[in-house]
Amino acid sequence: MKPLLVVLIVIVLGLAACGGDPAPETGGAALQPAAPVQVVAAAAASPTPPPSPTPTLTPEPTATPTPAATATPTSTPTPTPEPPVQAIQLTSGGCCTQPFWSPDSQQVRFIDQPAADQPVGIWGVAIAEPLAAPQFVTDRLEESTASPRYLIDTSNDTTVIERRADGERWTVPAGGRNVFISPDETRIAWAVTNSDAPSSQQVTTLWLANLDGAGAQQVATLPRGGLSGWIDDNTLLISTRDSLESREQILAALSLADGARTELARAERLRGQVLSPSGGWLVYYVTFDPDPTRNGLWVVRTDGQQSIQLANDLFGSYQWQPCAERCAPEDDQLIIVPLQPDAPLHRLVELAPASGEVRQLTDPTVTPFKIANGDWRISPDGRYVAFVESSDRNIWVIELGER
Amino acid sequence: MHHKMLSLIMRLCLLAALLPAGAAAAAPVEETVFGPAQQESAPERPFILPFAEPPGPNTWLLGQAYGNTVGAYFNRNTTYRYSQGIHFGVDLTAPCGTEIVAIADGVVALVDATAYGSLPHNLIIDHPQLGYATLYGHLLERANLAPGQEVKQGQVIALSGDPEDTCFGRPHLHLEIRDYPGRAWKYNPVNLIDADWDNLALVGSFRSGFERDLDDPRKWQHLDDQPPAVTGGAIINNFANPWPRTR
Repeated sequence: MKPLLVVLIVIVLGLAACGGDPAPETGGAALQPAAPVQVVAAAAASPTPPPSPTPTLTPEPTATPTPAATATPTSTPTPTPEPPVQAIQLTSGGCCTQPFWSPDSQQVRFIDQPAADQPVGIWGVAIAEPLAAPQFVTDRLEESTASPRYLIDTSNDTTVIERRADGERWTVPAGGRNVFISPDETRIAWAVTNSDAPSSQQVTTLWLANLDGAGAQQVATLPRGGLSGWIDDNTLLISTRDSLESREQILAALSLADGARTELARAERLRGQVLSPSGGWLVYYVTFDPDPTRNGLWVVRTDGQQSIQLANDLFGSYQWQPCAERCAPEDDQLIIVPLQPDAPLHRLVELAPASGEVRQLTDPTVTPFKIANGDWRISPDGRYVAFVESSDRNIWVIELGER
Repeated sequence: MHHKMLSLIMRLCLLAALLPAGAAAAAPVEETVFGPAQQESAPERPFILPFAEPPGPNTWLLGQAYGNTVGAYFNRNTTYRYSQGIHFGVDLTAPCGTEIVAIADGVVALVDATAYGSLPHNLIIDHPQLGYATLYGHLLERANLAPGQEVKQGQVIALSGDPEDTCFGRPHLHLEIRDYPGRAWKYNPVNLIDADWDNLALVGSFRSGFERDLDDPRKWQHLDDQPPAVTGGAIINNFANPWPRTR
């Protein structure tokens, strides 16, 4: 890379890191208008129950109907973003895979051992110093899977929660299973499955406890089901089936206040469900359904009130753009790298589900890149995407701009 | 590159992997303006994909990759024990009844050879001109072919099925590329099938990647950098310091 260009990039990224006004700015206002998208409200779901101050009931299944799959596919975005978005090479030497971010979004990190006489651990390169020698961060690898304020250690068949702020650690009765911490950080939930049984006979029980592990209780039994996370402080996202014999998988919101279930999706092959940062939206995809019009990428409101089916040329790899703070459903944005079998290069597309708007964030003719093995990650502040570039195996970064 | 040479290199790679770890050599830095320039560095790949239709949610998608996947690592002593602990083929998810095409000219060697696994039905085709054999596993029904019958690249040879024989459990094609005539070594289809594997990997919310050996953390971390495996060989991913440590 030419020295002058490197200097310019460092200046731009340095300004961005300082909260300045870097040029070119790639935020939403600078891009061309998004293509209009039709969004069809799904069938009405049951009303949201009032929150309970002591949500410790054992819920009884009270399923509500799945929203009708009547959403209109979104149209394909076409505008070319202006000004052009830059991809910046961060590492050299074919290093490394599975990048992740420092909590302040200023450093891309990865597991590595840069040289035989250097330690194995987490190394990082600051986005303000592209191609600088990686800096050793820690040899404690748990950090790579940490939640913002807590570490979950599931080694040795024991589940231990550690508070980052003071290092205090405590054991919770999840037996080495991962736990999901509620948004208000007062409770944990986990799933126990008889995974030694054939998949057709597996039953999952859901458990709930206080953050310190006290008050553990079983809250639901799910045929061939599982737990996907917290929608809000009183609602879990679960997967389940009508029975062990059922061909269809169900995604539902389970109220811990009264045990009511709001069905969000139902299909034979339903995969990739992820809650948005606000908990207000759920993304998933359906494949190989007997009704081909149901196949593809879907985004639904977790109150069951709205669903969006994306056009099949937007099917691909996706992640929610994180919020710096807890955000509202109106703020949630889904970033997609579409699967285009004949495309030599990749592109980033953004869906704002609240408005239904889709816009193209990068143009391959201007920002040529190709992600290796679907290996990309959005920064915690939502401003950057780090990825492993297919052509050189190095980690590159694209700036998405201000959220 | 001659295919026998490629096969030899793969075996040498396996030997190299068993040697003490060393740091990877540095590669030259790209010169670009807005993004990385694209390079064509793929070796010659004589096979085609086993489906005529392009990938997508209505047709087929990449499932589990070949090699030291996280899933294979945690099943190295059970499901993948007899192929050195790695996933020794590539899984392509597809609805039951999807037509499978021959990925190269060849001669049918075996039909429903249970000793090769990948039940309920499988099909093995020899490609002596290439030095490989291919196995198509978890088929919907017995292939309507007979040993000795010639097939052409692109010819429909079987229908995809489900290892659980339900068509709604885990419907997929398990595809292996083995050596010929021994059929004991299994090679990475990514290096031998002419396809854009990085495009195929763009599915869903998260790809877990490959299990890492923290004593050599760059080893076997890319789609096309996975070791060959031989039937009955010792497990090669019994890492003293694995990552992730738990699923």
